[in-house]
Amino acid sequence: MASFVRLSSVCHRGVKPLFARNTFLPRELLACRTLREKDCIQSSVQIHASSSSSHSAAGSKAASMHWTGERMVSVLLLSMAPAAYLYPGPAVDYAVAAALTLHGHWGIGQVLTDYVHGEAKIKLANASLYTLSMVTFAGLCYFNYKDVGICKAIAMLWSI
Amino acid sequence: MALLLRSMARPGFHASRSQFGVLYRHAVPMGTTAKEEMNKFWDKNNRLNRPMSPHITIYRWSIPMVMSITFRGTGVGLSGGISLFAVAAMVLPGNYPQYLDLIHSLSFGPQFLAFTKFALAFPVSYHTLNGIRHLMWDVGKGFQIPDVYRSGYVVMALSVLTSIGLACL
Amino acid sequence: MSIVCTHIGRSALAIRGCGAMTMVRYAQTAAAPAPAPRIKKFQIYRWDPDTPGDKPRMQTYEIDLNTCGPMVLDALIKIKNEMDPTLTFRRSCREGICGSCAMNINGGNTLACLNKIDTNTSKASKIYPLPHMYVVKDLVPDMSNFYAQYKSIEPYLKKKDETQEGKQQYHQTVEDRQKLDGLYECILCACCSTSCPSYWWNGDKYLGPAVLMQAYRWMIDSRDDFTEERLSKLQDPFSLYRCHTIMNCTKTCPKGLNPGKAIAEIKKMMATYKEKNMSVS
Repeated sequence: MASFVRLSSVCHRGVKPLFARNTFLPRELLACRTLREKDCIQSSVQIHASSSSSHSAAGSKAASMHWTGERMVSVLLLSMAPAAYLYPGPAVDYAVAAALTLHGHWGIGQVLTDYVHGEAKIKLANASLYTLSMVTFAGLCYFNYKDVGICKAIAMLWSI
Repeated sequence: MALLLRSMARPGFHASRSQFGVLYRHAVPMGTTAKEEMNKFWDKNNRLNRPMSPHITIYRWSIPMVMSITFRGTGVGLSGGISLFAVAAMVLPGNYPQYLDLIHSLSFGPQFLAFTKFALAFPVSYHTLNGIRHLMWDVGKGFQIPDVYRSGYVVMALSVLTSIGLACL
Repeated sequence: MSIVCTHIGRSALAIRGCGAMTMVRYAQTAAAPAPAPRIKKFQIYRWDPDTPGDKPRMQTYEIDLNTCGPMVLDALIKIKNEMDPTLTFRRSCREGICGSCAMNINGGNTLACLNKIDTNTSKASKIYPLPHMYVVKDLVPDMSNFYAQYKSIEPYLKKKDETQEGKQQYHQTVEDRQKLDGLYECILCACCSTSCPSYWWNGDKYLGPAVLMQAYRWMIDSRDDFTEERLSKLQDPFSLYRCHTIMNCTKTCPKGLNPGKAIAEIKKMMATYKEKNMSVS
């Protein structure tokens, strides 16, 4: 909408912006064609797009990469289920600990982003999540190291 | 309209511009950006104290909707359980086999044990199977409504069957 | 009236003839007994901004379905015309193309003009405004945020080279045009967006299925040159990524469109597009 103001300031001759409403844009553009054609059109393009990004080419793809990362970890975790059954041992134990913690961290992260509103609350929630995830990973690694390990633990639990 | 514009272009017109001052005032071309419109929306509605139309209390629950929130529930529950386990592993005295022996010594009946195994296995199998359903959606498959229901039924059936199977192991 | 008279006249002549058949014919021309009224209850959300201290409430109206059109909009208009002129709702085309009468009927978002009244008179029909929207009055929600979000995705053709504009049609193959089927038909009624729990909780920053589907409509239009730029505008945790494939949107769309699928396609494009040399626009 801002375009109508600017266009009228650029195109002087003959066109008075009496009512700068949508319906008048084509006429003003047509009127502009008779004078500084290229300038008018370019300025309207820039103004239309002024609400969109005004930064240069390299935008961050962080959000889409996070999305892709989440799916990759999910697939990885999925493939660890048969691995844990067929090849139980420390390698799978630590891999499961890492994948499980990361999958859980990102999952709870989505839940918090959905439901927690307000700058301070968001900061607190995210900080708590980081703490919880680090403690979880530490605990699982500790369990793998000092105790029987995740794969064996499940096997033992199931044979009570 | 074109006639009007052309008539305004004539040089002699400028002198009589003042009589159109009223029209200019009403027709101030205040274009707004999307962001400005959004801000105006929040300002206005907060100021007017309008009620919010009901949502979760009146919206009809459907199977896909219930399955979606259950997927989230099992995810949060399992995550909490794993964190609890991890903290317990660091904090509680003794080691894991000792706690299993303790449970064994309580001599729970076989049905109770089977039920507990089912109760543990079900969230895992439901979350895993619905997770696979989500991954199929992520590659773009299964978005027609009949397919959403079909895949939902399959997930629910397989979850129960897998959990029963695991509980019997 | 004259038709009835001539009918009666003819039958009267026939009666003078043979017995039973003429009696039957006379009975047929006599007025049929009035059908029993089918009373349907409508519970409708009401709130008046001009009554100070008014709280939202449900008001029940009773309609004889025998004297009402088949659609919920017919009932609403009948109530407004005959029973309560203060009942306020949006409506226009009455044929499912303008999107004005979008509201929540019996728990689902649809167009009142396309939603057939459930003829089961033992149940009341519940009518609410579109969920989680600020209420202007009765069934009228404030749509400004929804429209602003639509504006923000720049829903118009953008070319890198605008010098050829207006000289000739921008050519598009039949296959490329087919990609727009199922997308361009959106009437922006907002049924889908207001059925989405993510839009309920994050409607300020999440664009919602309707707007996202239109963003996709422009991304895959072969005549548009700004696909990468349109995609990169969604690179934040909220605009696109609050969608968790709950699929209420596709289920509720009164035009049978599939915004859920469109969003999934956007997510795929977001993961795979290459950041080519994007211009400042």
